[in-house]
Amino acid sequence: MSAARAAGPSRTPGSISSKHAPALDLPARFMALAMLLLAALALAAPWTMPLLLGSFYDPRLLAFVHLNTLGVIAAVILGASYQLVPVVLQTPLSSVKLGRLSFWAFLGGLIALPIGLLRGWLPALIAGGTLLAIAFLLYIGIVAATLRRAPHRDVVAWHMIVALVGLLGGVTYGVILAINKGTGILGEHTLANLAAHATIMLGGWVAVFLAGVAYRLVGMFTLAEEAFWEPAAWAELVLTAGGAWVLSTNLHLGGPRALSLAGALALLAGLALFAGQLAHLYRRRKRRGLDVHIPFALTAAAAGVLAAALLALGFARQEPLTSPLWIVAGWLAIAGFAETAIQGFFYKIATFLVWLQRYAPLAGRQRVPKLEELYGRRLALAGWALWSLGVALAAIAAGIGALWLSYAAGLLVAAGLVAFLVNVARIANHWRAPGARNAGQRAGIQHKESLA
Amino acid sequence: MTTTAISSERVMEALKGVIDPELGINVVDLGLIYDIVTGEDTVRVVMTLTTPGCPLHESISEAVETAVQLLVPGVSTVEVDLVWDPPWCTDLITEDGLRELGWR
Ligand code: HEM
Repeated sequence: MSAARAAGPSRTPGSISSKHAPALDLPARFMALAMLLLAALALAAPWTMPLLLGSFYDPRLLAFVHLNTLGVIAAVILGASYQLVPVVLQTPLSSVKLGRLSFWAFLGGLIALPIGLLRGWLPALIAGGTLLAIAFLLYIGIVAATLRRAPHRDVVAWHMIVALVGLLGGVTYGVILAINKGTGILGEHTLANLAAHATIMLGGWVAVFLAGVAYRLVGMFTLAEEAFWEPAAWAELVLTAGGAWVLSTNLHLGGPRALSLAGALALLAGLALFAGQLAHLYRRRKRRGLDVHIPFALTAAAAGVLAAALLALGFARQEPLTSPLWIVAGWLAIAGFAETAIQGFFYKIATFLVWLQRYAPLAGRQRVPKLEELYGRRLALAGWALWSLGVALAAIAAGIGALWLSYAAGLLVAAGLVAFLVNVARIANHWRAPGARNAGQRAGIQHKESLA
Repeated sequence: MTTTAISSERVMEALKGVIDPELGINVVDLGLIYDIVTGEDTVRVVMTLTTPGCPLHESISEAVETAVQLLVPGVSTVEVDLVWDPPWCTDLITEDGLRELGWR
């Protein structure tokens, strides 16, 4: 008998693994849908960027916003959480069947709502709103039931819980707004509801969810978990979600501007804490190399801080509704923060899922590639640079009203997305039908025979 | 004293072929292997993961089992014991591992 090192008492929790993750098709279908939408948005980017120079009430901008927020951001968040929540919580997903149902409802709603918004057509608005509400309610129910069964709930789990509440609020406003769009029932309260909907969706759901996921993943990817500063993560949660709810509720009720300013400042403080935590983790990381997700995550955090700062500035300076500042803040939140973070984490999450499906059965039998060998690193960094520059220029163009600059920004955004999507195609190319598992096992058996 | 047919060095060598695909470092240099207990034709690997929520749990422990079975002659049974105490920390990474992580 030989002992390489004395081990402590075995305390195997027995329930901590990816065996709790659902069948890969559930996250994969949402991810695939999001990539399809991103491809369409890349093609359209040179023509859609000038929309940011117009009114926030332009039906084309409303449709464009939802192709981004629902088609890309929500699709990736839903897909990623069906995969990640069971792994993070060490608890199986409460229902994969309902998860699949949520996908079809989501797809239907994603097609109907933008058509309704574009044409102001009540049946499509109601169908889209209803289908999306069903999809989101199913998602909320599934994740909430999983959270309830989790053995313990840490700061990341609480980010998920708070994000679900934010989503519920955002969906409620969304459905009311969709009905209102065709009927006008809200009358003069429409804008208050619109502002509340946008704020709670982006601040109370997307920002809170992405911060929680980042805390879990960044430490793991960079070997910096020991440096994670938990009190700051709790403070960030209170400030980000609290700020978003105060702002959204005050906008809804038409309360004093000072309270909106307080909400925006809390949101800003929360996002600044998030950015600080990320910078701290990256500084203290044991894995020294520049992993591709790092520039994406830092850019996203900076854009989030900038968006919240603009919001606060808007309330402090009493900017009129027609000010481009509101659109710039929204654009920075949607593209600069959420979609940049999503691209960075996609390189990690989707690549891992493909690796798990294709190469995990071969591990230990033969040399298997590292995750970063599944895509082009330089292309990923070039994509990040083009995309970030494009998003920044589009914001500047909207701010100063420069049409020519917005066309240039559109080209850069499109180029950045193309680089990203080429890498996505490379990663997807490694995906094989489940038969590959058997093929892998056969390969292993042959390997053993040849060794013997 | 028991006769040892299987050398733990041989097992360690086999385990150096199992990598963490995210970090690109093998499980030995990452400091995940706590103990190797060998019998006449049995091997027990006591190991951990970098974090209890590691989504690679199944994949890595299966790969460890497979690598030992395939690459170490004379093994009929491999047992992988995953433990969380003591928890893994970056101090367990070997010099080679640190070099792979870009430290030197
Ligand atoms: C159940 C799903 C949703 C429905 C039914 C919905 C519905 C609507 C409607 C009808 C409007 C326009 C209101 C008006 O012009 O009177 C709107 C605006 C907006 N929504 Fe949504 N929405 C949904 C999901 C989302 C999500 C997930 C986000 C963000 C993550 C989002 C962000 C926005 C933003 C930023 C605006 C303002 C756009 C602008 O003024 O140009 N929505 N939503």
